[in-house]
Amino acid sequence: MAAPESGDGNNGAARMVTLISSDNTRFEVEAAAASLSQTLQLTILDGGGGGGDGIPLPNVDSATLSKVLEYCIKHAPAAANGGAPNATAVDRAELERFDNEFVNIDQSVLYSLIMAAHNLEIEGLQSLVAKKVADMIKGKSPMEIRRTLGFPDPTPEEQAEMNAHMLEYGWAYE
Amino acid sequence: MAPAVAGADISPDWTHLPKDVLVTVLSELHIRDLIRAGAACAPWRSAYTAFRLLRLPSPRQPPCLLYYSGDTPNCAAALYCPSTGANFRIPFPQLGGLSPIGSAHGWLVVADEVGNLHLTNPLTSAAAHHNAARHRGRHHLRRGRQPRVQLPPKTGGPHPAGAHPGE
Repeated sequence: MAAPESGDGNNGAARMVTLISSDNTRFEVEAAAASLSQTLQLTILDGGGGGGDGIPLPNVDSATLSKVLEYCIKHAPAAANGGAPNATAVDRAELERFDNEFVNIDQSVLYSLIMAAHNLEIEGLQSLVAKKVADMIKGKSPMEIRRTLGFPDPTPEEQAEMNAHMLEYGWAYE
Repeated sequence: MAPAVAGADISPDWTHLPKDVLVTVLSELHIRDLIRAGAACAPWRSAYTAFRLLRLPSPRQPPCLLYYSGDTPNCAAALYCPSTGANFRIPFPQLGGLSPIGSAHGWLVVADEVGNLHLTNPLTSAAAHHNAARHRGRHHLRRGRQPRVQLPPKTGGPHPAGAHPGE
């Protein structure tokens, strides 16, 4: 698409980059959105990802990448404003609504998302998913946390350790 | 762009999240949930320890108020968490007869009748540092000879770090 700084005077044409998922699907997004990833930002600043090249992301599959980009596209304008200090309350409420909806998803997708956010260094997305996971385990005992997140059944040693913890930190279990 | 090719159906393994990802999850928990989560499995415990050591400022973990009065039954101190309004009763048998001197990062410095300093973490009941604290206490007494001691200022003060026993 539009080459970077091609200079045709069209202010509306944002620079686009291409990202390639692990299963070889190509995603074309605005550089500003992709730059929410600290990892990608450097490559993009170096002029990568434009033209036919594309930036390969061997750790992120297409389902996850499309979700990640949905987040980035939504958050890019606010991020461009430096965390949007002058965003209106309406804008902020809208982003919050989006975020709440966004993480209202299957646990396996949450897992893929937090791993992708970690690999791509997208701080906002990582903490958004972390918050969601924290909400899922709030008020639960260690055993209930294990069940909620599908840990394997505890070994006898693990069970003994959990029991000991409960005795030692009785106040946190009341 | 056809999504749903791979990945989403791989069953997630939350026990093997990278430690710094786990730390971001733990930083979103209030103190009670944090302590419980730290007991879920070995990798989570290790992330919990890392998180405590990092002392990250977290809006979810504002300072709590620890208070104690003779009325509290069973030698318990009360922990009040202002952000949730929750009250916890923390067993704290050692506190009777000790004077609190100061606190930082969850640690409490208390002095006994003869001025020995004790360092303790009421939430983790970490008496592991007791010996070191006693050591410091004796040292302090020798230098200061005062029955009630004051917490030294951060720099300088009655026993500068250079004068610490064993150095």
